[in-house]
Amino acid sequence: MTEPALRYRRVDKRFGERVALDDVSFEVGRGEVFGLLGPNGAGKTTLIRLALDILRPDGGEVEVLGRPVKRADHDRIAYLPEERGLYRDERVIDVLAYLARLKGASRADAKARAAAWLERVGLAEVARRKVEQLSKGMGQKVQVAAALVSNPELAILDEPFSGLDPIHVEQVIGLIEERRAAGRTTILSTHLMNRVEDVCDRVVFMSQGRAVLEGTLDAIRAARAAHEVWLELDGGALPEVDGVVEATAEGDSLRVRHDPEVSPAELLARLMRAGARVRRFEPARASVEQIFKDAVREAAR
Amino acid sequence: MRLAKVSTIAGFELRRAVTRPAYLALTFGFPLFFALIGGLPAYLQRESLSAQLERAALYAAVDEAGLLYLDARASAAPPPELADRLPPGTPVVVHDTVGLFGVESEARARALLREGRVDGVVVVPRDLVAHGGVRMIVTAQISPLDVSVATARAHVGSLLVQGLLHERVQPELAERVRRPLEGLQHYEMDEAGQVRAVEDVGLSALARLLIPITLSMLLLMALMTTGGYLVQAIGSEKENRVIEVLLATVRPQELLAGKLLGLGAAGMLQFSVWSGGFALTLGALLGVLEDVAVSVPWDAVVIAPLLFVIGYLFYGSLMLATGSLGSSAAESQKLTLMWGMLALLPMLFAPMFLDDPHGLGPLVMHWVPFTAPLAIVLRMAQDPAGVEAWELVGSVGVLLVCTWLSVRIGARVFRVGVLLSGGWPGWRQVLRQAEIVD
Repeated sequence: MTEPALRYRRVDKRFGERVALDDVSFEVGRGEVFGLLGPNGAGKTTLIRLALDILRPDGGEVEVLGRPVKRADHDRIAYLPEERGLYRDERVIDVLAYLARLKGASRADAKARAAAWLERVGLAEVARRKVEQLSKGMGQKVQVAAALVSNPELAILDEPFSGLDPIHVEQVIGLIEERRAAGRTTILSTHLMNRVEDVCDRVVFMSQGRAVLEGTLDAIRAARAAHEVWLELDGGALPEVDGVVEATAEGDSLRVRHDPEVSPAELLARLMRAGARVRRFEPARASVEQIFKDAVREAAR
Repeated sequence: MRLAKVSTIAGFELRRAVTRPAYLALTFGFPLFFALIGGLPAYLQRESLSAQLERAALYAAVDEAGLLYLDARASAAPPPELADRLPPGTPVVVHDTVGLFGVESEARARALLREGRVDGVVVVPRDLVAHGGVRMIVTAQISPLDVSVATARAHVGSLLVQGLLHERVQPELAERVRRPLEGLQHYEMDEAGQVRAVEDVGLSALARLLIPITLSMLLLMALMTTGGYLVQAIGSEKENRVIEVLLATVRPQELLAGKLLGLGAAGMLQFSVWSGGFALTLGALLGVLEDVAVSVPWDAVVIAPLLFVIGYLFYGSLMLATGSLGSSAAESQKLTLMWGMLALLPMLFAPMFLDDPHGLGPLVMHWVPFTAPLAIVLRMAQDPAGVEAWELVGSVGVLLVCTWLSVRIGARVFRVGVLLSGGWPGWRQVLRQAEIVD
């Protein structure tokens, strides 16, 4: 049986009095695109640093590519930090070649790989420019290329879409999907929930150092009702009924969020009793963003 | 530790350092500046002196007292540049580059000087024994400080001494009167009453002070500037988050080792250029190549690069560790100031080393690792024979052990420091996370 690309088992980590991770367990399968989600301070960066062996856990185990993290081969892992992490006064091609060399490539191979990746992300013409001369978007693409230049088995990308316009976001998603097709694992840490829905096979939601939700998006959606319905009325305003929390007009429809204690069937019955002429009543599919917000709110409670 | 990674980091850091304009300016600009303000004027002065020494001067002598005996002392083969200026067969007495020939009257001698056929006139008055009063006449274009004037004066003085004693004392006595300090030697006595010869006095003694002070200054500057590169490198890598990318690939110890080696090589190159520039400048300054016998403290010169390497590793690892705790390049540099102050101590107490290199203060600094690199060089440069072999081996050994410890502890603090962000957690917390204290 193939070992997972990354496994956290009952991991704890404290910084002084502050609990950064509390009994966290989850796995990332080989070849998956995995979403690591959560608000600031939820423990995402600590999880990443544990996987990179920059930090050591206080309790529990971390395994990377089938081996305890201390003995993992870090040449097979790559990391893209949230903020730009490149030498600003160096030429683009030199930075990429240096990072490839650190991953074990020979001098000639590193140069060739760096040039090929710049070609691939459409930045061959800036190869000899200094990093500080690049626009934010270009810099982010170079950063992505720097992370992937060694074709790592496991790539951890922290906010890879930051600063990119929609076209370049698509380009990066294309690279991630190529990796999935090639059986290489990618972990995405991002706030762009719609992109998570587009590209991630599975996700984990982190909140206050705990993994509060984990699984495929469909499974999470199935497990968590959205507490929202789509409603269309044949004339007239939405009557006031108990259990309606919020109603938002979206085109001809109303998106109605209701009290979780009130089931959709009960809500429909209350509306009918209040005289509403209902043309369409459809329980809404929870968005990742909503699930995320609910999970964070619940964890906070 | 994976050496391939260390060597890749070292190569990258070395290339980055030596291609920086600031590094190039400091490495080559500093000795150039030093040469311009010190060496060039000295070199020009020396060239001018050499030209004066090489130029032959001809003096017409009017010997009214009959004490010079020029005919009897005439050189058999005067230099051509003097002989060509005289009628054939004229007897001339040559001393160094000054030739003296007899003229019957002062008026005739002055006429020759006015016509430019001689460079000066010497008149020995008839009543010299009673009243003295030798007259030397040169043209206004010749400075009284000109070497040829001094040589002529010494030449005439020597001839007069011989003339005054002629046939009055034995020739050997006359010769000793003429050169009473021939073969002068200097000695010094140590505290135990042992006497030993001192070869260098005057300018040579100045060089003996100048060499250790300058060598120590260069060593200190190289240590501090290279340490500064380290701190700046780690501070800016933290600032722009490169450090996290690197730590995802290499271990903190490998990163620390690679940086130490790469930037150390850049520092060594800088130290070599400075030392070479200093040696050339000092050579020009003292005319060491020909005129002054300077005893170079070779023991100190040879051991200085070794001490640079060990001292750099010692201070560099401490600087990297403390520098990694800052959240920016500027803050990192502030944190490492204390190491610079400690390294500077022997320079602050340099007079103690020059006064007594084996006194209590120099001895303590010789053994304390923070001050040892400079203290050893200062002591050895000042008195190479006075530093025993066991002292040298012992203090270098202590320094090596402390360097090994500082690299190990530095690597642990570095691992914690490079990940610090936001507020300062305090030393206890840092040391706990570095697993140095419980």
